[in-house]
Amino acid sequence: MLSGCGNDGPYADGPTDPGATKSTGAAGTVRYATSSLGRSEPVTIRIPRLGVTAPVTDLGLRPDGTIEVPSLDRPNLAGWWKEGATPGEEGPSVILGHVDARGRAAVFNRLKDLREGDRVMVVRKDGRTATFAVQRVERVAKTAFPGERIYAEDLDYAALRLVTCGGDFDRGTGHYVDNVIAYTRLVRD
Amino acid sequence: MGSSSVRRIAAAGSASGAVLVGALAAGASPALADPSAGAGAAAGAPTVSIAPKRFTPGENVTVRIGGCTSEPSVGGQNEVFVQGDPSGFDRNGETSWSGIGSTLPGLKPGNSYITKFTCMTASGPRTLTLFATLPEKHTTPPPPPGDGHGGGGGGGKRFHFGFDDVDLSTRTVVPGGRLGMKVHCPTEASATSSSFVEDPRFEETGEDTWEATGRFGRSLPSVVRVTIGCAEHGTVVFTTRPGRDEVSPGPTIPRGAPDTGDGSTASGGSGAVAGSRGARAPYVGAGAAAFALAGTGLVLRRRRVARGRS
Repeated sequence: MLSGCGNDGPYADGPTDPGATKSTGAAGTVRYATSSLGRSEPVTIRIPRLGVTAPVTDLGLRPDGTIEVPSLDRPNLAGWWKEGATPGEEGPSVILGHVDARGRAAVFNRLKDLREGDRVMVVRKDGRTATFAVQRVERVAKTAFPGERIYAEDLDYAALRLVTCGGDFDRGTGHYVDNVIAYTRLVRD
Repeated sequence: MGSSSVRRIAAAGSASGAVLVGALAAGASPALADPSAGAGAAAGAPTVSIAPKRFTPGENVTVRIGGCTSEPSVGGQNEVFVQGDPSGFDRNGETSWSGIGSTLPGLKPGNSYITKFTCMTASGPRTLTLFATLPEKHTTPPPPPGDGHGGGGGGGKRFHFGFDDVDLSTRTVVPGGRLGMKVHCPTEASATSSSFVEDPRFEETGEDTWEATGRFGRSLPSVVRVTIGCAEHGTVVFTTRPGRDEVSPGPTIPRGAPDTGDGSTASGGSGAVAGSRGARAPYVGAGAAAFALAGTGLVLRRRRVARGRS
């Protein structure tokens, strides 16, 4: 069994899909879930590779149409996009976290260090834990942020996208110029 | 699929206020129908449309509503008309109503808007949704009055595929249910959804008219998304939540990119790198990939711009 994959959600009982098995090198073999969970909001997120354990709040839209972000005063707080799927539910769910805040490394400071096959666990309000495997990590310019794909890709499986900032920090604008995005997919035991 | 990108209304470029050859969508989906019924099977279901379909923002248009036993009224969300319009409806038949509304002068080309009406029907209170989509900009002379759609390429007109070119048999998606789609398209229509058991096959049932019925799986996500396309003319995206009596154009997508960091651990000034020491990390991907989706807006709050329509 793979490290960090110790939950036993109902999706682990789905039929075996040979096409959904993939070797991921150091992280071992990934067996993607062939079914998904019902809707239940996330409570905490854990990423063993990064030593992250953090509470998750929900995020909506600001009046200007941009997404809310967790308070900078709580660097270890992650935020879930509440208009999208919940982690484990079919479709893309999205969790944001700061890369730094108030002079400290924040919850997703090392998101870029994730590698294919690394596990991400999300505990939900229904008590179940949805476990995801990293598929890839990318850094994109904020000017080219793929919002349609991140928030609304039409998927027939449960996915989780982790998003933070990266790249250069532009002191003129007060923002990082890039985003780091980790794409993950629900796995089974 | 077409190759359109999307952006939020707040990020839209200036509209210039020029002559807007707007094709306001009037294709609100007929309300509740037998899930097993195909497109167009919802005869007698409430409908809403406007005339003329092409107008200049700020102009008055006539709203026609059918299927209501009581006088309709604007119900909460109104992005198309000035506040208070249409102020009233005249009864034109047993369940037919018409009213005049002044459209907002700030409607921008390429954006989509919604106005919802409520009324009483034979089956109880209902909400009707008027989808309004204006082409991003016109590149051809305005069509003659009364021509609601672009043609199929003849006469120099350009076809603008939008929400008004799609009629859905139902606004309520249920597991195992069906969705009839009637599409006005001069080329070939298609529909995709990860929630369909299989992609429906469209048949041409008339001139530039295509019909198909999609069947949903027995397990549906909380947000169901259906993309309907017209080859070479783009796509529109509808979303709904299973069991709810509402179909809305496009999913909710926040504008821009998240700002998740204050730079407080970034060393140096501009150009300093947080976490990756300057050089582009090897995980840089193709995140800038454009999406083959034209769509709009979101449920209740936001509209996006559908670009790339021909």
